[in-house]
Amino acid sequence: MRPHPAEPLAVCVTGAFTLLVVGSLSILCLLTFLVLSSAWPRDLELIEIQGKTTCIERLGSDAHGQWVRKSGQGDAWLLPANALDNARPTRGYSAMLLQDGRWFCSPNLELRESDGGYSSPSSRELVESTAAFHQDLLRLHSNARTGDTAAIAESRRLHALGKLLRIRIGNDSSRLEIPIQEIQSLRPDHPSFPEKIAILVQTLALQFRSSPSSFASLTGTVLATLLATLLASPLAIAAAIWLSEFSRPGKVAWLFRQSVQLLAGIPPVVFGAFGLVVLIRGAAPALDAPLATPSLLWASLTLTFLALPTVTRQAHIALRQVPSHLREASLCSGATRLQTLRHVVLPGARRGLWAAILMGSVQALAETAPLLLTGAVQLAGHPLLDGSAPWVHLGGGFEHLGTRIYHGIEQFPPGPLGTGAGSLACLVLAASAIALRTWAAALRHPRNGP
Amino acid sequence: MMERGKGDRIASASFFLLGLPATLAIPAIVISLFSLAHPSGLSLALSLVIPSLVIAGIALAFSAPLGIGAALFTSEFLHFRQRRPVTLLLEGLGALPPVCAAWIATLILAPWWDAISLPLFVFFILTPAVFSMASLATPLIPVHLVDRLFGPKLALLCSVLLGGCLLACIPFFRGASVLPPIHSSFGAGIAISLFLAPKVAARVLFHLTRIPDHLREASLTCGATRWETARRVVVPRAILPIGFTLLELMAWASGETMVVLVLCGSPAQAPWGGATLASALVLGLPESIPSSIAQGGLLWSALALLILSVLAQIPTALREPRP
Repeated sequence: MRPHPAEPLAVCVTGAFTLLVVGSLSILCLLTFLVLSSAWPRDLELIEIQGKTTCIERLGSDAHGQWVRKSGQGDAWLLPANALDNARPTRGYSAMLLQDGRWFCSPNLELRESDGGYSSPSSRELVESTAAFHQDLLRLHSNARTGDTAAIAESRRLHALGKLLRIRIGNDSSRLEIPIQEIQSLRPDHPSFPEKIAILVQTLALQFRSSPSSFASLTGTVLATLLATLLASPLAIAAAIWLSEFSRPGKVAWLFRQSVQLLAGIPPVVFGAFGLVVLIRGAAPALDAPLATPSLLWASLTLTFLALPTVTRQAHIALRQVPSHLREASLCSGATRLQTLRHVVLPGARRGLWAAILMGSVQALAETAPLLLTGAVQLAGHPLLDGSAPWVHLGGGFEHLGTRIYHGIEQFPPGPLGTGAGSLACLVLAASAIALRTWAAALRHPRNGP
Repeated sequence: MMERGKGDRIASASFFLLGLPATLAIPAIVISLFSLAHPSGLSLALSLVIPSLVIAGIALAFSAPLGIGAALFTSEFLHFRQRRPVTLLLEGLGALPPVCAAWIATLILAPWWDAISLPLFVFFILTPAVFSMASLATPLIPVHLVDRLFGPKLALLCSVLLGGCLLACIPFFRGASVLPPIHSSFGAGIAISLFLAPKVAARVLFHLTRIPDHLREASLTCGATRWETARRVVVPRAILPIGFTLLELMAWASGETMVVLVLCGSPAQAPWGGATLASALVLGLPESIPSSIAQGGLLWSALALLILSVLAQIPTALREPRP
């Protein structure tokens, strides 16, 4: 039913609801749009070189324009996409040049010098290749200006054959014609929508792989969350079962319940301080070297403390929601409390208990502040998972999606791929947390429930 | 209570021992932090309490009206078939990681800050301020006279103008921009409210749905509209738990770290920035030497957050039946 139109505050309530829901969803949509727009493929020119098609992948964009990765001939290297856009024969102001087994492309005819303005290794590759191309062009240009008759004759012959492209160098608008003998054809490639989706997925995967720490941060996030959930869930559910099924109503149970309640309201950074000062600086030195420093082990233990009260509280609520007449019927039938718990209470509270575990894992997943104090670093330098026993390495610093995002913001404005990769990490983390929390809520509020 | 068997006793003891870490965590944290804290950090912690509470207050000022309004709309006016998906949505949105909120604020809100600050200013600050000033100003002769002579619409306009003039006298509202920049305590409060508002909504919704339906039905049967029922029956019944929930969330938000760290926690964000208890902890604690006075001093910041959250939860704890 709609609120009464005469009530002005009813309009405010409706406005608040709309603003909250639409605003939150819009922000998430904007984030998604940001990620997708940086990776959405545009129509490209497919370049055929001696019958082989080069692989061109969209990477993202920055102030210098769109960036693509070209591979297929030797090592893959980066180009600004407008270099390829200008490689259309109709424009005729760009060229691909094969030299010493490597292909070079004029990057939009604005040849950049290596002035130290590029920080990422990919950009350095571009600058190096561009500088080499620039040198070749300058050499050819000077030869043509000095009246090299052989060069002029060859130029005229190729021009007549239609195998010549004109090139403009820098901003001085001087033109130069050079033979492009190795290019077989330049033909337009307009991928269909499904192909664009495939390219998009490929590009997103590439964006995530663009930094060596992406996979490591994803692994670190999953492992830390999983370890914390696995450690916290049995303890918390045991506590909830004792509270709900075995404790006698009295001061002990009340204190137990209030303690859990208080713990759930403490800001996560306090757990981080506890983890650093008590666990890492207090207990860790007793262990061997890799575990004696801030590491995944201590971070997971800290997250366990963080998740414990939430899981306990929610599990207790789930167990109390099982109707007491079911317990009484079971006990009257001669079952012990343990049998009643196993055959009546736990099956009845299954959904709620899963919801409690999910909520605990969401809390462990979403919090970054405790991890900054207990072992999450920007670059770990060693893999958490590898093929040698014990396969999972809990010692030493580890990377996390949250800290990756945080360090990405610190370095804002990011490098050529920073915005896209950071937004993707943010989207992955936010979507995982929101999806898990919504799943937990769906388990807590069944469709046919109250 | 039914007599317990030996197996039950063993099970009870096992569950108690297994669940003991959940109970002992609070005393363990409190005792360890108190024993390691050094009194030299007390003054720093006390000086940071106010900035922390200010940011939490700003966040709550934005998220409380949104959250309570959304919860009230969902529980009282939304069709019952739409309530479940909306509830799931609100609970899900509340799980937005704080570091993602910081990224969104930096990347999405910051470029549009100037554009969105004016609507924010009008919607959240100017309108309530002007309405309150108008209600205060009603007994004053000019507005009252205008109301008598020209009717309520012109009187409202006069109130808005009067309120605007009064607001313009406050130095905070004068300057090139109507609101402080995003890299400030204010911006941090807005960013925190991105995930605090759905949390408020979900918690308030929980309290509203616990109110018995027969009270609503009785009110509707007496001829009240749905809104009158919400205002006179539902809200007064839930006002206390909602207030306590807001108190708890404010204490929790005062310990929010990532958003503050990104938007205003670092010294480089001066003059609008402000270090908080949480940002001081995260920036200072890893750098401090173990067992040093610096570490002990910084632990007072953690203790201050702990005490704040415990104090905020006392009213809720007192409402629960005691043995």
